[in-house]
Amino acid sequence: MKAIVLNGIGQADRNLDYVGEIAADELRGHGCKVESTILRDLAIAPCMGCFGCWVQTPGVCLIDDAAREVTRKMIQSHLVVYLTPITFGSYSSDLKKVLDRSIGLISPFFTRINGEVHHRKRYAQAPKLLGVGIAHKPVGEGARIFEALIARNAINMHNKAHAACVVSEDQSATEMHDLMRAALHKLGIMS
Amino acid sequence: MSTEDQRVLLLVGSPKAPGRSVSEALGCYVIEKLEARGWSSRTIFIRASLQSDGGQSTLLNAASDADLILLSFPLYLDSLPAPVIRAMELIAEHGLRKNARFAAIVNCGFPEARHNSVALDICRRFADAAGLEWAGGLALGMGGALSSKHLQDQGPMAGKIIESLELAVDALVEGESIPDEAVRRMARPIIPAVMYTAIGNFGWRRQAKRYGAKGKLNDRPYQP
Repeated sequence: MKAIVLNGIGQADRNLDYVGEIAADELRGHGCKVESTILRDLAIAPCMGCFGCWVQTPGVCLIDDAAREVTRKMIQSHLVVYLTPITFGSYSSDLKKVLDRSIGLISPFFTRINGEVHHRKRYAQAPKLLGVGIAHKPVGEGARIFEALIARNAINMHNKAHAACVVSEDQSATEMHDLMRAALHKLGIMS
Repeated sequence: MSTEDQRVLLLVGSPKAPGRSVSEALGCYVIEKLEARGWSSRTIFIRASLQSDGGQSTLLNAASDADLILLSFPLYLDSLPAPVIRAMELIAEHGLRKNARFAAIVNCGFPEARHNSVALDICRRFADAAGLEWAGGLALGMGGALSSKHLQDQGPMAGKIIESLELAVDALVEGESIPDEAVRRMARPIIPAVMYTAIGNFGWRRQAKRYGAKGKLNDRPYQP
């Protein structure tokens, strides 16, 4: 199983990089071939809102930078991991930048899912989605918003399954491993 | 409440150029109405402001000087566009010199306004983290039915949006939060959802045709 970890830990939070190593270890322990991408090290421009990835070069963003390759790897993986400090309940700007650039992975056309309008699939198979949010103490409402965001993203991006795992800075590595393992099991990924 | 010395900062979260976004049209309508009540205003386009150190300083200083910060943005993947989150990170790190209020208007391309609810939760959480008083948010669906023109020039489709914004302005001027009635009116569908999605699907094909890509709309360039 191929897994890509999109590490959205920003420059100011580099002291949290060890959480990415714990996540990669846990994934390898579950038989995954892991590729970790440190997004802050990549030159990625923000989305321009042009919809060129839908109507000009369908499936490919018009901006030719590292986000194209990350996007390709996302759809070619079995599992995508969003690793991020929880930022007001959302993702860090480093992670969000690449996700905004990934909408070419879905179709512009509308469909209806559970009574709501969403965009159609572009690819027959989308990866499973695991969100790993790193919370500052106290964990609080941001964690609830993060979990809701992962669930909503999974609908819109047609992820086959999704789970959110919130860890906090004061937890031990063992506790983080336990939480990540539980989330992987929820996704049906067993060691 | 005296309004003559009140300052509002409009942050436009759309990455599109000035004059090209629905977010700007929505935010500018509020600004015009507040100016008519004696408020002074400033408008900053977030994506452009983040492209230089000077622009970031201007953004942070303007946020510190404002009595009300109004953020108007398009929904991007159930959340805020990345540059808006970056601006929020910077504001929260930098701190603000005084307590101010924060309100948000979010528009999405889906028919249902409820797609915006997580994004407004994020805005409220940011307000809390930055020491701002949350003055409420408005969520608009069917943003694709609107244009960047002034709302008053967009005909009857903008009617309920204008009503909502008028109610919001009345409340904000009085130092109150955006009322529920404004939220309800903003969330009402502009046209039937079936019609909106049919027009939208036709619109994608028409745009693709212009670029010679009509036959490629369902391509899978990264298919393994």
